[in-house]
Amino acid sequence: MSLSTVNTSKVVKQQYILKLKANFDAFSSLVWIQLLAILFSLGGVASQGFQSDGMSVSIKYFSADMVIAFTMIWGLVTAITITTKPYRYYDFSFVTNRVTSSLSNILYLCTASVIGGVTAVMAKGLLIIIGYFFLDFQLLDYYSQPFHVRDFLIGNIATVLYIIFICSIGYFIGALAQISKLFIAVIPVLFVGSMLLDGMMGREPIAMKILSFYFQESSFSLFVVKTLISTVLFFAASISILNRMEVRK
Amino acid sequence: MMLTILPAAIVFFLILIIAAIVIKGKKPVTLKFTYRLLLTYFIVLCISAATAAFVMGDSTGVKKIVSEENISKNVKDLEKQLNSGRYAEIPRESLIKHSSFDYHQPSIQVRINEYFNPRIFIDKKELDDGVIDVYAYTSGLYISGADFTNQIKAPTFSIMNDQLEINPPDNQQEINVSMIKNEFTITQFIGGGTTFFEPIEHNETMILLRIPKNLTIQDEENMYFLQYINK
Repeated sequence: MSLSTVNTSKVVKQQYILKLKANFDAFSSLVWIQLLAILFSLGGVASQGFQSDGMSVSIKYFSADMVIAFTMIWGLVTAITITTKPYRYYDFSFVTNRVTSSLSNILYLCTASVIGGVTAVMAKGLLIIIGYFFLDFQLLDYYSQPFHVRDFLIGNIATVLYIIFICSIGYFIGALAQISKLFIAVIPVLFVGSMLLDGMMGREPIAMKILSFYFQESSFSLFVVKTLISTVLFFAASISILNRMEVRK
Repeated sequence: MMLTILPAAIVFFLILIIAAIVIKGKKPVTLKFTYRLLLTYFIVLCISAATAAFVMGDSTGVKKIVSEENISKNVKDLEKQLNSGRYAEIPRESLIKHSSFDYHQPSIQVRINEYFNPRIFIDKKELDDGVIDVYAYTSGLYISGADFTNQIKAPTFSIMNDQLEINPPDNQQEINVSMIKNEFTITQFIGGGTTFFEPIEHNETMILLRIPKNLTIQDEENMYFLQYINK
């Protein structure tokens, strides 16, 4: 029996710092993924044309939507990855239990989401600069202010919250997959299957209803509450699942 | 030109990533490398964000914004002024071309290029001065309210073999505009996400022919387009 007492918050903090260092390479993939999304976005997210009396007007629309979407996918993959065996076994090199391990993982995912979210929103600037200097963008201002302070803040907070939420889903899927590998197949089958079934029955798919619950919420404060509660629930469920597992399973 | 090499650049970038993965194998990327990469990326993003704010101001050079009500009012006013022969009231910026031709025949035929669809107003002068005045008016070109009227090219007029030919501009005028849209994580809360496409306001060119008193226009084919002015 050890004579030294262990403080949970101290252990979580130490594990968080160690995990941040150990999993720091995930950020290099974040940079590559965002650069790739910027390249794809340079073709424009939409276009509009008009032709009349010997004149043609062409409008191309640009935004960092694709960068945000790619970052969300990166968040999902990162969250699933840290629940896999090699990452969990790494924990046993330190004084730990399932709860402290999960809490440090969650802190790591929150950090990753903040870095991913802020860089995704800021990628719009790089998109504008590349377009302006290399692709001869004729930018129509007035409606195209790139960084209005209020919009920038809302965009950053909302993007970070979305990524944290996606990470919590990824972490939950990863936790389920640790119980049984069957979940790896069951979750996508349930998702696609329900969409197909709802489509055949001529009603709005449940998946779309769930998505619109978050994506169509126009009140910012309500959105914050919805995503935070959902995130906490997913993380709590994941901790509960992982906590029931045997050591080194 | 850059747009044509963009797909090649994307393919090159993808090949580069795959090659890097193959060459690197399963060796982990060092902490130092990732730290430097992330720091460099973040600095680049900050500089880009700061520069983007300056870049936005000087691309199209369009400084005037017109409201939707004013755009439709301008169109109606121009039509009224041409219909009633009150040419002096027409704003100067609406006139994009004026040509005069000496013509002393009793009749003339008007031919319009098949790809051109203007409205033609005909005003018979009180004198038989032997001069045909042709005016081209525009009610403007507005993209999301931004005034691009000065970029409209004028049609061409010529008289050959008792025919007045009205053609679109010699070279097709191309106006390319890039618009930066807010991301869905912003439009979800401040609005603007549902009306993604911007309105383009442009009406047909209006041509005014001021012809000598005794000149008649022979134009069975295009009578539909001709509108005689009642002063």
